Amino acid sequence: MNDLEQKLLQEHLEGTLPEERAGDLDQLLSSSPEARRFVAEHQALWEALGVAFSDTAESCEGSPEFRARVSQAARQVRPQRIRWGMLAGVAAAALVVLAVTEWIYKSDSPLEGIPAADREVVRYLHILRDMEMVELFGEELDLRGELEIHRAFSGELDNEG
Amino acid sequence: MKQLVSLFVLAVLLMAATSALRWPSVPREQQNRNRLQWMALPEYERERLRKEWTDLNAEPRAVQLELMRRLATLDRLRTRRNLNGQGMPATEEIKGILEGVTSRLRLEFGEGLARSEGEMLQQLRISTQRRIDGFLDNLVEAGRLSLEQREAAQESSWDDYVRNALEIQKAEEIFLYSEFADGDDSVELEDLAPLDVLDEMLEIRRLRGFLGRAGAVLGLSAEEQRLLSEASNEEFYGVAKRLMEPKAREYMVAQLGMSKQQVDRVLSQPYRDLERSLHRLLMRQP
Repeated sequence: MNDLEQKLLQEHLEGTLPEERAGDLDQLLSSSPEARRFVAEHQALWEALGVAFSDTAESCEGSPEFRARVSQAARQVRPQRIRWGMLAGVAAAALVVLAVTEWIYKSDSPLEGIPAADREVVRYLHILRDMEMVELFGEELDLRGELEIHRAFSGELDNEG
Repeated sequence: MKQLVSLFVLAVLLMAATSALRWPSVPREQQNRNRLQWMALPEYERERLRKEWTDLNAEPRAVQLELMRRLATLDRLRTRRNLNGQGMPATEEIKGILEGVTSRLRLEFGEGLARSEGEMLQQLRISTQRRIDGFLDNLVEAGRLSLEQREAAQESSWDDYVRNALEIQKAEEIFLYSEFADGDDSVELEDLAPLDVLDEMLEIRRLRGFLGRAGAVLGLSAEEQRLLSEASNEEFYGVAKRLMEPKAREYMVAQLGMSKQQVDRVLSQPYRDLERSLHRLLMRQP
């Protein structure tokens, strides 16, 4: 809504809209969902105030000043809506970025051109090549590995430096 | 709309789960080498390797973990020698190195005490556990680990106990090393496996004597540096303590104004605990 439309609605809600502008108001309400929502929210607030302050509401109802303040407050305290649509858009965009990144990574992979069924075998070919040695020297490698861990904690006991 | 969000979260979780690697990631250069080798293989050899890969993946998780551990040890052995400028060792050399480790341990433990590799491994584990227990106790005493964390670590399985202790040791080493290094170096160290970090830090100690602020304050002569660089891994901390203790004593008395009794108490600690204590003492100095 622009400033003029905002002013039109405000005057209507405050009860100060001149009769000759009633046509403009009808046109705006029929063409703008935002304007309709604005008026509906204001009216809901007004009704809620009427219930909560039934004793004072009657005496104030006709007061344009009071109406103007309520209208002002309604504009200021309109709750922030969670924009689910925007959130879903961001989520979708993140998925697209992930998918594209993965596609770029894969298309740039050194294994491009290797049939998909063989890619894992080729990627870990060096492991398969080492397997014979690992099987032959399994216990020796275990000992060496254990010795490395043992050394990692040297200098932590009294009699070791 | 809530369902849409839930579905999105589920999709992300599924993507993360399916992309999780069971085997360690492979650098591009290695993949390139593998590709070239694969292209040169005859079809019957490829078929044998395909079957081997399928069998390997059908092994129980425990067997796979054991294989991964052994492969990592083999890889470290090769890389360490290569970094030392000795080039990538051939299979025969690796065989020689591994047999050398076994013979040395057999000598250390004595023939009567440990005959098989399994028995030696068991003995080594007992000694490793004593060291890790000592390390964690030292950290509790220094207020760097809570008693609850210490107890929780002790209740875990042996593998988890070792893995956690190594990660803690790595963090301690990087923390002390950051005294010399800029942020980028520390970040690079974070990416290394704990045992690789510990190897690197031993080399820094050969140059500085101590990690942490004490290493920056207490200098080493060329002769002292030579002695440290020539010390074997096993004797390093003994040599370092002999060299660094008089320097630390002098500094604590002259610069920190500590009494003889206080100095003796600090110096009675094991080397790496002493290193941490000195760092804390020096950090308190303006």
